[in-house]
Amino acid sequence: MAAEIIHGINSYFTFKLGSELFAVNIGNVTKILEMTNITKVPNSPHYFKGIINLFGDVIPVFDGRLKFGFPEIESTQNTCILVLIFELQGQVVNSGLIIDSVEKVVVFESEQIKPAPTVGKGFNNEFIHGITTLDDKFVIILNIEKIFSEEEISLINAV
Amino acid sequence: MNSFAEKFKEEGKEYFEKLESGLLLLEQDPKNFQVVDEIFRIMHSLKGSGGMFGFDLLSDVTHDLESLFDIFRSKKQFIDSTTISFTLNSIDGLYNLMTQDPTEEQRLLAKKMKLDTQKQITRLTLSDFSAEEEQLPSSNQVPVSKSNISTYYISFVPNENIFSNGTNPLYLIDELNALGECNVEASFDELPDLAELDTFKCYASWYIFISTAESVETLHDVFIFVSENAQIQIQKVASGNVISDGAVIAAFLSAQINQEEWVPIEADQTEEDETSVEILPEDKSEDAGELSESVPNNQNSAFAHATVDSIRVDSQKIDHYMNLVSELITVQSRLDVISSKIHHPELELVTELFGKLSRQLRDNAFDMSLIPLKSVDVRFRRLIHDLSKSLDKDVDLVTEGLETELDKNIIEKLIEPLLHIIRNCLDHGIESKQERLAKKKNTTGTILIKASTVGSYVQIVIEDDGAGLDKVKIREKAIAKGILSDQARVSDEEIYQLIFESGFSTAESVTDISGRGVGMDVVRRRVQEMRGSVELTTEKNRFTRFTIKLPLSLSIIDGLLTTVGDSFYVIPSSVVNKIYSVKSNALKKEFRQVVELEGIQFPYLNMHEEFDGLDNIPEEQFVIVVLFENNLFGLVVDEVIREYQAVIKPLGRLLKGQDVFSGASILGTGQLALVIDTYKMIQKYS
Repeated sequence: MAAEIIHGINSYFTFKLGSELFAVNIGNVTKILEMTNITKVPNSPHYFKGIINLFGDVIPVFDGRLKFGFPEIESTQNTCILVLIFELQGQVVNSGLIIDSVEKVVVFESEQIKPAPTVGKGFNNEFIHGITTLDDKFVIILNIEKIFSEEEISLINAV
Repeated sequence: MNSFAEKFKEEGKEYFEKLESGLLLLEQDPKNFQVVDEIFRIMHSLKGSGGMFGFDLLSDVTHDLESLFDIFRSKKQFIDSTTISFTLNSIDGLYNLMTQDPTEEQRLLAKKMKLDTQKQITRLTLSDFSAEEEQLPSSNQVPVSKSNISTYYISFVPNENIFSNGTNPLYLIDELNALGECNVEASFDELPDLAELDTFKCYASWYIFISTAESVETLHDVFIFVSENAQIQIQKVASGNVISDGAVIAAFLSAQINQEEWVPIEADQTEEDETSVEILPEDKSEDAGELSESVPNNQNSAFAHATVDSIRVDSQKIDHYMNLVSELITVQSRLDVISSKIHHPELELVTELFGKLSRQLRDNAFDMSLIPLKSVDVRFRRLIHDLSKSLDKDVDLVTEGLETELDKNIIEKLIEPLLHIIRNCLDHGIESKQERLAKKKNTTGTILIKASTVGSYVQIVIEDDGAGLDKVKIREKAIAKGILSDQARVSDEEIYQLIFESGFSTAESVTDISGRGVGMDVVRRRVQEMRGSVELTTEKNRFTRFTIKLPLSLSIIDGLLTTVGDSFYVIPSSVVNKIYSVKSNALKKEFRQVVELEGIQFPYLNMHEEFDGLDNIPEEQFVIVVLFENNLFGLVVDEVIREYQAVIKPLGRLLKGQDVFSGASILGTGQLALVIDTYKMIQKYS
């Protein structure tokens, strides 16, 4: 795949899961896809939705809601798959994350980003890169590498 | 034979390219005699090997072109642009003459080219005369050039089997003839009686006196292709042309017969004495294919190194290329789907063509990613060498068909299992020298590794001529280890297969070489992981033979496309034994998860229940009977759609943890189908 991780950008891609605002560094986002048919892989954890065909590549898709402890809902018109690219143990990996809706791209200077509070909101603190605010609302910036390295472990355990 | 001709064709193209680049160089720098020399030499090689492999027309025309260039070479005349463009055109013509089986047109073309070349030669020699006339008063070079000529004695004794690689010794004699004045004597001393005569063997040898301006090296070069298959001795007789000088020849021959040392008769004494070089047949392990490579090597010149024979490509690039081709095939199958829906004749035509091309491209891509087994040959030999020393057993390794090609990924994964089998053969199979003596066997044991392509599979046989497996011992051991119950009635065949069970080791004493109990089961698992199989046959005191069967490639398989619930699954055809249709109600009644079909009982797994739960199970389902460690196992699917050539895509890093599915394949509709690793699947669910 031609896409690469772009480092050193301070633009962030924001999206919604439930009523919460989340963000990932724009350098890790390669595509936003409409919700499509996902081929399920039997006997996987519930937040692992299955695999999709992305221009001839097979990539796994995870449900952001289930992953971060939100209740499952029917997908809406706004539901989409965020295709992320990141490094996992030295290898570049693509993965899809189902989100409720796309918001916008915002620039956060590094001094704007505060470390994650120690009291988690029902999900693992380690997944959070930092917290910032946008229009008086909290934005949780995700640490993608962490999320998916956890993923790998839990998948192995699930089998 | 044919592969030699193919090799030569490839080589020929290289020669043409070199000739072209050389000629173009000359166009800019006509005074560069080094390049002229080089061109002459390339033409010479082209002629020689062309003739050797039966490209007679090519060889014939090149011979004349060679004479043309000889003018520039020997007369030190500058090449003119007419000759350059003429030769360039001729090269294009030579391209068309690259055939062993010429048509009438090609014969005519060759004739015309020869004629044209002769015209060029005449033109040049005439102008040459006028040039020489001008030069005559100032220089008197004739004696100098003459002193370059020497007379050599060449004894050319081919091995009996020289014909087997397609060599015609007479072509070599012809080639020598072109280098200078020759006096050839053929000897048939070795010729047996008619009754014993094998027409595929060469009994003749040749003794040649040649007077030539060429160096000893050039003479050796004539025999470069046969140096392994013949004894060639080249010895300088004298400086100058002494062929017609009977006294010198007679003296030389008598020296030869009496095995006296012959000191070349020198015109001037400054020349070196070391003119006798003997080439003995080289190590036979050299592959015949490497012969052709030795030619470009000795052409180190200003331009020869600029062209490349083959290129090394990063294996990742090849993988990427394979991926792209697989994608193309996927897209093509989509196009097929669309085209068959629309029924547009023009579109159908294009789709068909596209399909044909992409299949060719796929085959070509596969071809590229295959490497010969020979690449690991050294490791086999090394292992046997080291082990036979430490075990004090004499072992010969005989290999056959190691040029058989396999996907490089398979070869990488295969090395360990193969080495383990060889280790076992050496350690357990082949007996000690004393034992072999007692059994009246040759004290040197033999391990045979034989590879061949069988259909879409590659078969590798590893066989030792050792003690064979002891079925009584295996049985006792298996019972002791709890693998087999002592009442079990099993056939000999089944007993032998027990060595593939985990936790089994037949060696009485555990050596550090094999027999750690983690042997053969790992071998079998590795082979099965690659969708291959391994079998064993043995006969006491005769042999033990492992037969490994592997698919040619890991990335495309023939499979059976099935559905379970609303998902598609591909089951590799290689393991499928039979397909039955069953009523799902009948299955439900079975509590033991065992189904009986045609009188055979075997366990089954209802994939629908496993993957989709108990809902929506169709009334009629299909049992796909697969082979699992020589036992039958039923996989129950909802529907069998058709046979399907699956391009397997890896599931990616994140899904590495699961191993029931070896990958996914993209269907013509763009949907995904999971490819089931039946071995893992059955292991997990049974």
